[in-house]
Amino acid sequence: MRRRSLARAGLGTLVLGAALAAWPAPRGQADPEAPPEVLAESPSAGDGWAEGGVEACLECHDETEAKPIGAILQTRHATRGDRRTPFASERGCQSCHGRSGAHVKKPADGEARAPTEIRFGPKAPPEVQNAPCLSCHQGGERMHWKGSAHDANQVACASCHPMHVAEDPMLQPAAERPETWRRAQADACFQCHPQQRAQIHRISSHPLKEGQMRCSDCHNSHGSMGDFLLARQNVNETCYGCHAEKRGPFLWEHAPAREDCGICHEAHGSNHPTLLRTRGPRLCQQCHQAAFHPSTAYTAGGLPGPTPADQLLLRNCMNCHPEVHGSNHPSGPRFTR
Amino acid sequence: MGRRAAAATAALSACLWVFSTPARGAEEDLGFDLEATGPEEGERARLLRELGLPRSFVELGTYYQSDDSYKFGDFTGLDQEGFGVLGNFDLRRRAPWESEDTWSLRLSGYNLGLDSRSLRAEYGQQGRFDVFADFAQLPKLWTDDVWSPYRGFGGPYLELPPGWVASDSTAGFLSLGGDLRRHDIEQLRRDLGGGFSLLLPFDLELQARYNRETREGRKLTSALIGSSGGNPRAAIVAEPIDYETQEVDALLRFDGERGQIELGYYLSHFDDADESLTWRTAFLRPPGSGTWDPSASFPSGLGRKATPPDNVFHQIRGSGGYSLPWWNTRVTGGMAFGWLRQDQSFLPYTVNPILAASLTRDLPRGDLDGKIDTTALTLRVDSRPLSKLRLNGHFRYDDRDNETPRDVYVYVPGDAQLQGTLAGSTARVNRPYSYQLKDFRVEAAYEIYRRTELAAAYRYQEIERTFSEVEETGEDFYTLRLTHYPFHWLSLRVEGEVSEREGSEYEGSLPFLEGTTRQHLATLAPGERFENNPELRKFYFADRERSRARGTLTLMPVDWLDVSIAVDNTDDDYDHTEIGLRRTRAFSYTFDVSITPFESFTTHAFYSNERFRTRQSGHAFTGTNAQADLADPARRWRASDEDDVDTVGWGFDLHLFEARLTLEGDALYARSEDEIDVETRLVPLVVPPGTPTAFPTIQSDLWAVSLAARYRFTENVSLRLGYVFERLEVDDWSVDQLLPATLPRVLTPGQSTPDYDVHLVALSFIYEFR
Repeated sequence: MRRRSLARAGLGTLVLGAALAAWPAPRGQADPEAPPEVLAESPSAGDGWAEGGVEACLECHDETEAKPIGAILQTRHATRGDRRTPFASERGCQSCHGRSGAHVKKPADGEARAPTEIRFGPKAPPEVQNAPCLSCHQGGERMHWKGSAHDANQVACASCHPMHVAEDPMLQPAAERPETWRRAQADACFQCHPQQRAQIHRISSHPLKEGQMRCSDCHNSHGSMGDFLLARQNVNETCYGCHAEKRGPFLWEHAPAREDCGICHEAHGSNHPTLLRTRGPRLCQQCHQAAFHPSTAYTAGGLPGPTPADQLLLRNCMNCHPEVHGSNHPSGPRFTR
Repeated sequence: MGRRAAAATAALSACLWVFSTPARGAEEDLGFDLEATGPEEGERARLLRELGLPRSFVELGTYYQSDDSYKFGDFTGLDQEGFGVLGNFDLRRRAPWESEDTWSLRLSGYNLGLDSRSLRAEYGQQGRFDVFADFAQLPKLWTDDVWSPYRGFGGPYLELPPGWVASDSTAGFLSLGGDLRRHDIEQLRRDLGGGFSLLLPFDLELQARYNRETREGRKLTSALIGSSGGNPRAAIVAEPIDYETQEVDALLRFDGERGQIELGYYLSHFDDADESLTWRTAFLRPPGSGTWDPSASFPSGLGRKATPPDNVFHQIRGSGGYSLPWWNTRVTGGMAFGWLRQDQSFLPYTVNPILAASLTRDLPRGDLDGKIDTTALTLRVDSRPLSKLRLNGHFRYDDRDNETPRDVYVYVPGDAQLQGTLAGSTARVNRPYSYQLKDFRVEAAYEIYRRTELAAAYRYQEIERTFSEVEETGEDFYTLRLTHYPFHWLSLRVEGEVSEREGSEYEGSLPFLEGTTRQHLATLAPGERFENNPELRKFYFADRERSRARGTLTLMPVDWLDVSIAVDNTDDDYDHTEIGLRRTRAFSYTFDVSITPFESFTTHAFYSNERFRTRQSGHAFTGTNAQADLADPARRWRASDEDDVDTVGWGFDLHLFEARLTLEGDALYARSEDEIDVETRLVPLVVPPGTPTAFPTIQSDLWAVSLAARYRFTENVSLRLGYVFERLEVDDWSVDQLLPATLPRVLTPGQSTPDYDVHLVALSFIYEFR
């Protein structure tokens, strides 16, 4: 019953979306019947703005440059019919780069060309670079940017998001380049997080190196309500997004699993099976020291030989106690059911 | 495979024809207000418009894989030797950027010939609405090397073959060799979903997404009969996976100039088509095992375990931010209220009909009626009262109120024993754990010099737990950070943090007392009312001193050279712990270099080393002589784990012949070693000859090379040649040399370590167009 209800809800969501497509256009979309709206005063040379729109910039920054910029015109930023976008106004490139009236003027002999008002890259302060971006992108996933870890560490938007490309690699779907397993988004993160770059190559890992997951599947790098820039409220809620079978609640709970998956698992990669930080039985014996086998020392004598120990080999404790995330069986308090 | 490939080719060809047709009316749609006063102006307008046309591509080809390998194919589906289809496409159309139209359409698909395929369709009118639908698959290939005598392997009921020879030990399974069959353990996730975003008046936006994920396959689990006291017998078998998770995520946003707010609803419903796994025990009742009922022995003995129960989670969340007009101050906050419910009907105490008929106490309820209510709150204020001074305060609250009812369950251990009484050790009370976290952090950062900032932070985190040995823990963190970016070619970041966690009184017996009936406690002497060693301190809330230091130095002495060094060290000292985890240390350093000697060539390399150390102590004791054993220092033992990982990587990008030829490659080598050492003075009086005395190193070596060359014949047509090589070698004593009958009490699947050596060559044609 619930399956059908939810499927209907999902289908209804899509139908509603299609139906709402007939909603009258809000202010972002121009009415083609109405005269063109003047969104901003045309720049005039007197106030420092350059005239001529994007064409003026492309006079010099054309496709013969070593780093051409024209590809931005393929992006959502360059959609003149959407009045919210930088290229909807005559300021064009100056919407982000600031006043460029001095920059377009030919410099005097021997003098360097004046820079634009706002510059991007390692030479410019992050808060100056980020201001144009945040003037439009302060809500949604960027709502908690200010004061977040990346903001506090002076990361600029342009450090991760190149604008003058046809598609922002941070937004590219996983498996963009399957034969080389290039991971556009992850590679950008690894420039500052090299430890995680090594961890994803361990014997047990999430499918990051295969390009089937992205860092943003778990983290919101722009700031979040949770700890560790997690996309959801806490570690467990983030994990349950893909591992809902672990959510319970269970009749017999395993306290560390209910509290924080990270107590036992290293999500970025581990040398041990199923992303465990340490292998059993020692991982389990860090919390379980009851009489008889839980407190026994499992030495090398338990290796394959005359006296192999089933608490040491293969799945170790889970050879008998498989339901370590919790059990809903009435006879399962020892996680054997 | 052939029909699917043909169908995919036909579909792609149709899309290709549709998308390669020049957009009709492009000239009429020209809203570009540049009067064509002559051929030069018109040409410029045409070029300008073309710059905004997105490029589409279709890639079709084939690949050849040299060897079968489940591990290599994990997450990709590249698990079989032989040829396969390579197919990717990304078809994009949009209205000219300079026109008043804002429509865009995108169809994309990747890995079409593999089980890791994905498809996506998007259409929208930017500034008005977007709709999308997507589909993706993700294979999880554990192993294809599992052996079992059970019939129905992978299904909900496991039966032994006719003529099965049972025994109380795997050594006595005389028919095992002929009864073993090979199986694979794998799962396939399929995600199908869609959604939309819709701009509404008054700066509002509505977003919604629905996703349905199915996961089918199997996973390894344990089929155990018996309970403690040395009598359990188990077989490693497969448990069926037939899961469905449906999610709905809806959001209403308001984005104003200063303030933003959003209100959302999230629903996740998990459904498991199976409710249990049932099996017939392969073992005979162990001799001298008085607690095993004869009916639990082969051939009548049956066991059953529960699979994950259905559950549902609702959450309402809201968050907002407001930029105040002074001191560059922003206030953000959020709240989320969730409800987690689970009421799947209980299985009976036992599947054994003989034991079931002898039950004297029924289940206290038909289902758990599990309830956890979650509350998450956060508030952050970030302000810059002076141009060089930044202040930040952050508060986070995370509460999980577990209101699941508590009852007494007199369980049947391992489908092998008669039900006990309320006074027995098998009378248990469930413990629905609740948790509450409060986290408060303040930071002040001051620019002491040009682009050099010194920051100091204090954080306090308090956690309260129910049914826990420690009711409340508090941890103080002190952090100092220096970031130094004096020049564009130099950046330095150094951070140090120390923290100290202390808890309320450690009551080691509390979980045992809360989980046991008073009738049973009355049968125990006061000195016997505990389960774990009273000296044990569970590490995740034990008193702890932590220190952490990390730093990154990046240099760009010339424009074409980038060098960075990163170091990270975390030391945890559980200073009041005698039994349990006592010390951990995680240390890593990484060296990166990137060189771009000229525009068409970039190369990079890195080396990283990680070390993870743990030290723990234990004390072996028996239940029959607990007090004496606990006082015997000879029973104390120590264990250490030392993980070392070295990773080396190198890559390059090279463009030749005016970028007609592009070469790119990556190479990686990762070596990990795990050294384990366990010391104890309690050794057997007689050590059989051939007993190992030291743990071999657990080691894995991964070599990975990928190369790709792409030659562009024309602006539209390219040929891509790709090569991938991977070799994995694993030495893992916990798996190696382990035959199905190696362990006397556990029938293991005889799997081996996932070594592989795979070459893959791919050839594809790419057609690009605007």
